[in-house]
Amino acid sequence: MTENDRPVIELKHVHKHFGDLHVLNDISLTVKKGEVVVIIGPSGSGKSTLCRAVNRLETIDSGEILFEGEPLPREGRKLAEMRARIGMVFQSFNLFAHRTVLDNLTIAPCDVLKTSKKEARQEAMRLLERVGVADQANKVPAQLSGGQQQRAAIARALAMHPKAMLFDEPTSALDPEMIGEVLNVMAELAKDGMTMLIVTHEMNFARKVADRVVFMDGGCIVEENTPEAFFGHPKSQRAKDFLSSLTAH
Amino acid sequence: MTVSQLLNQYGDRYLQALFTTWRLTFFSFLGAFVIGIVITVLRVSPIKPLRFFGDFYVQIFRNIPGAALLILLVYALPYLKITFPYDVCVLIATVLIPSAFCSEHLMSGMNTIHPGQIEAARALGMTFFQLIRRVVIPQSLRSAVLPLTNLMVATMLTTSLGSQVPLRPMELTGIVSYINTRSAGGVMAFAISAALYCLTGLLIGAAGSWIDRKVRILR
Ligand SMILES: Nc1ncnc2c1ncn2[C@@H]1O[C@H](COP(=O)(O)OP(=O)(O)OP(=O)(O)O)[C@@H](O)[C@H]1O
Ligand SMILES: [Mg+2]
Repeated sequence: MTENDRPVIELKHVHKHFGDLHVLNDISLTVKKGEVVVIIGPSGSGKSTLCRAVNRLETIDSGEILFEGEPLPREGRKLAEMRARIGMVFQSFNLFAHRTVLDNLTIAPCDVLKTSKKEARQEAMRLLERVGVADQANKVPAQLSGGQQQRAAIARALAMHPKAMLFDEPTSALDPEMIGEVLNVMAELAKDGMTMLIVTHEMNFARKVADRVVFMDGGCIVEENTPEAFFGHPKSQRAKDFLSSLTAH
Repeated sequence: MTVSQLLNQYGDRYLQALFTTWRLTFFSFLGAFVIGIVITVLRVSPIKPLRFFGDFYVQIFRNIPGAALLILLVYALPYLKITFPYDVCVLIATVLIPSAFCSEHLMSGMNTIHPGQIEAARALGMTFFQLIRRVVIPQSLRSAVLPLTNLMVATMLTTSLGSQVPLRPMELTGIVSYINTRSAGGVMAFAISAALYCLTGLLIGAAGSWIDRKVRILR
């Protein structure tokens, strides 16, 4: 096994219920170092739940989730330390509303990684530069456009030097003209070798950036393939139906 | 007596009473504020007995009349061989009751925080205390400035409990009884104290609005 075949995220036979709803049904999935895996599927199929289970924002009923070979700690400081190594980007940005964009990027590195304030600020400015919102550093989130907020949120996650990034529909809350700017940042990240697990409805992005596409329906992984194979020749009827429902309008 | 006669004769005493009320209000509110924050942290902590204690504390001190609490502190505690000076008894009563309300205001302030921000903080690897300190309490406080301003005014009015014990120096309500037992100050003696309470309330209100404008969270 070479360095690059090392699994970063590993789910083994994961099950989860919400009451009677079997929202994750025997999910096994591996994301290797530097790999970009895109999860697609109809609404309610369990994509968000899967993504959130990887850093234990959702607990699971059974099965196993490993990050860099270690099982996710159940709670407390150990879990916090593990989460610090996994970046997460949400649909609704979730920047801290009471602090400036710059502060949003420095709070966690200072508190969690014990980075010095000065160093954290320099690193934050570099990251804001990289995602193209450095000129907004001293504004509060509500003064930014959705696209700018989401790019800042990506920078905030990157400030922790994560070993992998989770994205849960990062562009779904954005006006169409802002989707591109966020996807561009994500494509850059992928090119730089970031390990990424992305839930998205942006099929063109998946086609271009993904190493693998995972199609979920009803809590199960129905199909898993390269983007060329999946979009070109979907094997299952459900995937075919889903893809044609997207092109229908 | 006319107002000017009263002020001539008791002007310095009123001034002293005003400062006593201010001092009581300041320390009571400060104490209530600090304890209110601590109780609020307990009420959202991951440890169930602490949550229970916090809720219990609030239920007790939100629902007990100030006078009853003061009587307990002054007359009942000595039976347990605990005796505080009168001013400490007044201070304890005027800290405990507003602290329960302070916690309630912070809890409703907390409801204005988008749950996604809590998840984001967790996802960044922040511990419970980091999350509380960096995200939850600051945002709750900023959203609760106006209710807390009202609480400070209410705390000021609660310090009139000081008139029920031999407090020295006297505060604004105690001074009225003092004057009325010496001269026939009548309703005018009350009116002066009332005016001073109002003035203080207006000042607190103005300061509260100013702070609120400064720290309000843009959403
Ligand atoms: N906290 C919860 N309690 C109960 N049911 C839930 C909860 N969260 C999600 N669900 C249900 O679980 C199912 C899967 O939800 P999930 O959010 O993972 O779907 P999704 O694939 O991300 O859908 P979408 O594309 O709409 O975001 C849905 O039917 C949803 O209603
Ligand atoms: Mg979802």
